[in-house]
Amino acid sequence: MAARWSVLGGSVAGGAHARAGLSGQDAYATRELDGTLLLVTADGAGSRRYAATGANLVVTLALEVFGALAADQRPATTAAWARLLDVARHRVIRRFRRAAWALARAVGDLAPEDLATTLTVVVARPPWVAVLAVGDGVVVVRAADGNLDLLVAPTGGADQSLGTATLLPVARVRGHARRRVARLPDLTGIAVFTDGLDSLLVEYDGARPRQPGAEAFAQLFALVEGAEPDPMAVTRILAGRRVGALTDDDKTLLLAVPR
Amino acid sequence: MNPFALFQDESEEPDAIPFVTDTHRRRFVALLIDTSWSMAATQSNGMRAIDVLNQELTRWLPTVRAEGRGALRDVEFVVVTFGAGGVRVVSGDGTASAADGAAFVPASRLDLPTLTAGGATPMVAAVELALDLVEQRRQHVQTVHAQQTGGPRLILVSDGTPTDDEGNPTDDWRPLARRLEQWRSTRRLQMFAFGVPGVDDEVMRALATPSGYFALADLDLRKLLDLILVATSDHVDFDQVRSQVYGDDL
Repeated sequence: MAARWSVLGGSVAGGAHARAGLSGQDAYATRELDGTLLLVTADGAGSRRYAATGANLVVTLALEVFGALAADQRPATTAAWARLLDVARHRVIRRFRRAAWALARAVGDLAPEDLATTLTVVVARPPWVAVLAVGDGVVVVRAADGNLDLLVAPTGGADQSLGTATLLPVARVRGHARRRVARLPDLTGIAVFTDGLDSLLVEYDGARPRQPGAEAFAQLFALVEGAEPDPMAVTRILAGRRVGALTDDDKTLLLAVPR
Repeated sequence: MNPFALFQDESEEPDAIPFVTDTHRRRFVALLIDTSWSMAATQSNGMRAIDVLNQELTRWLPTVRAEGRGALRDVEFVVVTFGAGGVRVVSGDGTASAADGAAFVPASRLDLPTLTAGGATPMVAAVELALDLVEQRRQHVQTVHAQQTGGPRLILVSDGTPTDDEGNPTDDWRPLARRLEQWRSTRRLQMFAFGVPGVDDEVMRALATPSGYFALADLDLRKLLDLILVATSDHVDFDQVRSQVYGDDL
């Protein structure tokens, strides 16, 4: 069947990684299954040697687990979506932990926390948008009137000092996973991004995230709404001098609009 | 090689996205530097440590100012030394005031005078002053500029043991450690302490917690300043600084 979503994504290494000739430690994937859209990002912990491996691994696992559940189930209530998220969370984390511990056994000097990563998964099946987030990913939704909401807001400073204890695979999931289910009949756009972009795309009121940057998102969503979106448009922006001057972090951005 | 370098080489910017650059968020970073007599007595590559520090600061400050126009654009610094001349504010106009144009300066305008070494190690008084100034600045920014602030950050560098003004060892760091713990739990304080050889590890761990304390193996002041820059960044945790200090030997 014809795709029901237009999607653009990109991920670019932060300045420090790029200057060292290294790739970034973010990973992402998108998939559309019978009208259900999956958007997945992961941000490997900068201090960990195998964080990029962890980020790629958890994205792959999340795509498999969420894809299978979304194909099997048609939740029609908030509670049903919440249950789907709980089951998916449990499966992804269990598989990721198994893989991490297996890798640790197989590779002598690797500890499970060397794979430390965040994970943000969006499942969109209008009118429903469901999100699972571990760590500091951000999700923005746009309504028909152009109004933007932070469905998952940046976590802010307090969590940032806790290091890999708040990340997969070692996070105590009950305490550190966030779950959001929203019924949005007039949804016109979804954006998911890693924390390297939060200070560029979110307006703050002091230390508190207030709202998405309206002007920035108006132009970003326009990129994906054209008749033939340029598949490299997001990457080109993230790799531009402007973004490089404003943030030194790895950055990943996914944009999706229903057709 | 960065696979996207070809985009960065383009002479024309590919985008004109109006990103959020005025975040109305300010972060305060207090940098506390030990300038006691040992910084004059200790040698690093045949030079007095204080002279090496001044030399390295002239290399480091332009980097901070450049970052202040980008990633550190919401950071205000206050720099306090403890040693020669007792406890001194050396940033801004040099006064111990949280008013605009006084001790706190944006990263993009940070400059420091040539530092001198001598005297005792009134570390506790210096940290107390920094906490007081940060709190006063937070209140000033909130009430006068109607802006709230992010969690404050304290970066402490020392090669000694806390003393009173006359050089006598003091236990005043114990109540200070409790005050810092309270700040961590209620005001989101993040503290990084860097100990260069000669430092009292027990004191530094008590003040900064074992996670926030980094003992350096040698008097590599260039590396130390680079670490301070890392510790000032917005998205940083103790693990990231630890990996910079100790490499893979975590």
